[in-house]
Order: sequence, then structure tokens, then C-alpha cells
Amino acid sequence: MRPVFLLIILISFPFIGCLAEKSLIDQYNEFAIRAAKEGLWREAAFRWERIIQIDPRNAKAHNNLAVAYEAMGRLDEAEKHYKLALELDPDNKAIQENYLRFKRSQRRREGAGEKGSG
Amino acid sequence: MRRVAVRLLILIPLIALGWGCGGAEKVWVRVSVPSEVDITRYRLAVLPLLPLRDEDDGEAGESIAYFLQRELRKVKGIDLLSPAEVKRTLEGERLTKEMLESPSEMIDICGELGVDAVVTGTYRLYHVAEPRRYYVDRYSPILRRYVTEAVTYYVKTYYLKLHLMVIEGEKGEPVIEGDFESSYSEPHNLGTLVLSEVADKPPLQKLALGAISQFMMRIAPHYEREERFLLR
Repeated sequence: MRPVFLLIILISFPFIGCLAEKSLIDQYNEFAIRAAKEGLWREAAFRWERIIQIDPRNAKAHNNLAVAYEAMGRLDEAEKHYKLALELDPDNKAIQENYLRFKRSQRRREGAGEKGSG
Repeated sequence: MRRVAVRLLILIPLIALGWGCGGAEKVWVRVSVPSEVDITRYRLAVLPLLPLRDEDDGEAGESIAYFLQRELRKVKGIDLLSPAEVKRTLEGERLTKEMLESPSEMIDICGELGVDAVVTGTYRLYHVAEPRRYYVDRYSPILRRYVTEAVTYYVKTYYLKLHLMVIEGEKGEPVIEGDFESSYSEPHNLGTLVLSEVADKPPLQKLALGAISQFMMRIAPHYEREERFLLR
């Protein structure tokens, strides 16, 4: 009986470590999402920037930060983070959809710019 | 006990891996939408709108032009001639639908007013009254059960259809034009319907602002709400 429990504990160790880090990231992400839903994009962006500092390969954080930057009108930075999110998680439908919509509104802006100058 | 231990052995890694696998959260972001034309480039004047049907007296056209003028004034950086000045300059002149379609006439009008472009168009204002039925359940003390009864009421719907355009003074041709419409419904019984036909005026302001706001979205930069997904 004892070896089985010992095995459980041994297997669980790496996951517990992972859970602790994930939990911090999740806390930041949850807080940021709540802030974003209240329209506090600056606060939300700050949290997602922190997540990226902890885990630079976190596609979700890159996507969420891109949305925050887009809402704040920082469009170049938004595009950069959308692209990074897509690189890290190319099959994620939500990221694909966000990027598609971002590009569509960018095209509308550019089209109007050309018309305005022409 | 051993079985529980084995289950735990399988479950712990699964829970750990699945941790945080939440869905997507919908949020709205404000996206700036540019206009199709830059009307701030022009010195503008709003001309009274003309009735599409000749039997209309055209009284509403001036009111619609006034509402249009009021909405245009909200555009940042716009250079708009005052309605009084337009009226004074065009005193004695009678605008017709044919003039709106004639580039040379429009060039002349823009010249007279001293503007680069004019905002004008045609309108059609009408209403339709239709009977509608709805069914209610009423308890009948005689029959001692619920009975369904049909109640007839009338829906009077006002419609305003605008054809608006910005006509450039250089070529006398529209740089942008479109059809915009709005409607407003009110319920009536037979008595109030008859009275409204005699006494009521159409809710022109409500109708005009509804249609004009669609036009404004095309000629002035504005913000729209767009959906994005935040990931958990």
C-alpha cells in the first residue's frame, strides 16, 4: 500500500509546482478579465504584461493584451501581440477570430485614409 | 483502498493539466470607424430637402434640413453655412428634384452660396395603419372555464425615407449618397386611430434623427462596438 502512495506523491510534485505558478497567472488573468469587463483596460493590460513577464510563451496573455491594446487605441502593439499569440497557439479559434476582426477594422481605417488623401 | 489510490494516480495529472482550461470571455471594444468621405474638407451648406412626391407640400423638408444641420454641427472641424444665410441667398429661388440631378445647376447653387459642397436630397413621409389581433384567455363565470378571445387593435406606423447626398460644387455631382429610412409605430384603438388621423402630426423629429444618424455614420468618423474574446 505504501509504495503506491509514495508513487502518487512523487508524481504529484511537479504538478503541484506547476499549479502554484499557474494559480498566480490565473489569478492575474481573472483579475484582468474582470477589470477589462469593467472597461479598466489600463489595469487589465498591466496584469497581462506581468503574466507575459512570468511566462513569455503564454498565448492567452498575448491575445488578451492585444485586445486591451486595441481597446486603448495602441494598434501597432495590439497587432504585435495578436501575431505572437497566433505564433504560440495557431489553432486557437478565439485568437484567430480576434486577429481577423482586428485586421478587418484596420483595412477599413486604411481604406478610408486612402480615400481621404485621394 | 488500492482502487482509490489508482484513481487518484490518474486524476491528479489530469486535473493539473486541465487547470485553467477555461473558455473565452466576450468583451466589447470601441473601434474607431472612419467616414467614407472627409466632409471637413468642404465648406458646406444644407439645402431644404425636397418631397419625392409632387403632391406633398414640402413643409417637412425644411424641418428635416434643420435636423440635418443640427447633427452636422456636431462633427468636429466642420465648416457649415448657417440656415439663415442659405435662406437669404436662395430667396425667391425654387429648388426642384431636376435641379438636384443637374450638375450645372448644382455648380451654380454652390457658387451662389459660396460653398464647396451642399448636403441635400429628397424625402418621403407617409404612414400605414394596420389592424392586428392578439388573443387573451379570460375566465368565463357562465361557462366556468377559460375562453380565448381575439382583441383587435391598430398599429399606425410612420415611415420616413430619405435619399441624402453630398454634392460637390466643382463637378456638381454627388460624392456620397444613400437611402436611409426610419419608422415609428404606435398602437391605437379605432377611436384614437380616427382622432390621430385628424389631429396628430407625424413624429418628424424622431423619424428624421433616426434616418439622419445612419447618414452621419457614413460621413463622420465615429466609434462602433466590436466583439473580442479574452481567454481564461
